[in-house]
Amino acid sequence: MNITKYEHTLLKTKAFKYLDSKELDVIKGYCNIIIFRKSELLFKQGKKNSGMYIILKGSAMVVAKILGKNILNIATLEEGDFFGQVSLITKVPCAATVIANTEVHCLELTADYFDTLAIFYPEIRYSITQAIIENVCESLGSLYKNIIDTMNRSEMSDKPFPEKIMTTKRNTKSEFVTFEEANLNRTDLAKSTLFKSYTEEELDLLITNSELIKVSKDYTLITTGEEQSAYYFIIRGAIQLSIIHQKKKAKLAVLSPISMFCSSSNIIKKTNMIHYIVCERSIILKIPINKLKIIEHSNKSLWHKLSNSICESFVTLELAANKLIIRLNSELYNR
Amino acid sequence: MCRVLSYLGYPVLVEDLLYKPDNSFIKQTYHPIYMPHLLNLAGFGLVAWNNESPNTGLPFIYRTDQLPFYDENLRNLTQKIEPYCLLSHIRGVAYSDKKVVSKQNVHPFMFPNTNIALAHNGALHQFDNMKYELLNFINKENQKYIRGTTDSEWLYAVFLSQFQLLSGKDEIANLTTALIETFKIIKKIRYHYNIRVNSPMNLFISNGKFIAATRFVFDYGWRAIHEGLEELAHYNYHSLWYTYGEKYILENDEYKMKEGDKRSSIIIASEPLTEDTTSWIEVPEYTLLIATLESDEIRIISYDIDI
Repeated sequence: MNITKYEHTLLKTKAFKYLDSKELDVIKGYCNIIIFRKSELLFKQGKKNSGMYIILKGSAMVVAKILGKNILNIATLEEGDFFGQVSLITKVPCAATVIANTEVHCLELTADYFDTLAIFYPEIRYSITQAIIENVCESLGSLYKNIIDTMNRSEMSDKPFPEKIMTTKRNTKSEFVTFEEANLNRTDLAKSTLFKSYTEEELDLLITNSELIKVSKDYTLITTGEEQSAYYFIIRGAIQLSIIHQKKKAKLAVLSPISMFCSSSNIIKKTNMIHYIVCERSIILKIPINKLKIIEHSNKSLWHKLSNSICESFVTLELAANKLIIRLNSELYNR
Repeated sequence: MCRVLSYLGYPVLVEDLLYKPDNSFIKQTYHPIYMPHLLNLAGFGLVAWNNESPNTGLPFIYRTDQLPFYDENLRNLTQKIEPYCLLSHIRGVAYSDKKVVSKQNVHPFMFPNTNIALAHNGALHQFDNMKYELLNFINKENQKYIRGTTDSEWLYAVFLSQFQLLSGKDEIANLTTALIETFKIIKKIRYHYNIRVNSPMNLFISNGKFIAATRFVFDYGWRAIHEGLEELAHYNYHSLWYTYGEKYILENDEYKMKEGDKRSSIIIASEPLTEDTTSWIEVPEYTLLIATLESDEIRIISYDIDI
């Protein structure tokens, strides 16, 4: 199949909206067009896939079998939409099945090729990553509304459990610490999964522009409505992600070392929906907002790596939000 | 580290849980998906309740310090029994000559004065330092029943002693209170001895009428300094999953919970029994999950634990 005839369509797709035609030429050289017949399966829920698909012609239906419910029709995908970002970013099996409504022409962006882009064409990879993060954050907004609706319908308690234990509000605080005070050494940091792909220079720049903080349990790092946040890395301890609505709190996920997170408002111009609260005393590496700009302009490679981590964190969050909706419908949660 | 599997609901052939699925409980011992290496096996245990045997309130118990995949008796037994409730445990220990591999240390634990059994996935850091302090919270009778050397049996004794102190008629409320009380006791003793290293407390408790499971860690994310910052497998491995539906069946060559008008069966386990996890839910850290069977319908209660 000649990919050139889709050039105009490709530039308008959500995944490639930040690419110019020269960059698109690079993509075209390494990606395949796959044609699915009407009613054919593009993705099968629970099975691993090679990467992400971008629809160039036709429409497809997203369905999922969800615990406690029968098959659920989730969405319809049209020309310009993409799917499979979970497989592309986290390499986990597909969370839904995608079926062709009509004959569907797709461009396949494999995870292998996406990884290769990071080495040879990092700017292209970065542009696609940004488009994916934005899409995921928009999707998180819809999931957030769904969670709030479910919480409104639920009889969940607005009191913490077990109530009798929570009689006093804990004092929370955050203070700067040195690497020595935190019993932390640079070698351990460099060896960790998140930083092992960083060069010496990148790690130095990251540390120079960061603050190491010690935070107590219950300290709020990011709250709902916050416009932009710093970037945070959990070095030791844990952070709980919750949705809080009318004093009711639903737990989305608990992040462990070494994870990274920031507010969704850093990505899209909408207010943040998720509370990030320290649930175990923690040591956090924080890149303040004003330092993010410095990194972005002084070291593109480091900035791209941060973008990759942020993308992974939001894709994982999207999966957690879907699971929370199921839990809120299956369990008598905090009642 | 250990593996735990529990089931409540429509009577099920034990073999379908332990051996048949593509990530079956026994398969997890020699082909683990969620761990980068094999479990360090130190025994297998099973308690199960059925309605056909005498003394239906009491389970039958099978415990061995042998390797389950070489156990012909176990395989044979699982092809013959269909309990409605089951709690099973594979004990994993560190490769160390300091560890005691014996039948007395095999989970689930069940003292002679109760029908409540407990299995544990996790380990209390510096348990030897804190264990005799725990005696203050274990009644005299339960003290006599401790036979092994594991932290898990002592935890069981503490929990059971708290449970036996409660006189309320609401069994689930008593269970919840005793569990939280147990966590508070451990927390206090750890504080006293300045123990501040990651210690998972994933407990599975059942008496045939309910299954309670916790996903909880003291000092989550604080590994001992010499261990480095992270070991993702360590955090992932102390996970808690469940799936529920009408009945656990084989459909299109895959074991799964069949959807139906009633949801009469639940599996709660430390990891899914199938490689396809789409019909499984992972429960986040700091959660207490309780499943009961009422009028053939599974009821799932969950709480965020904050102590």
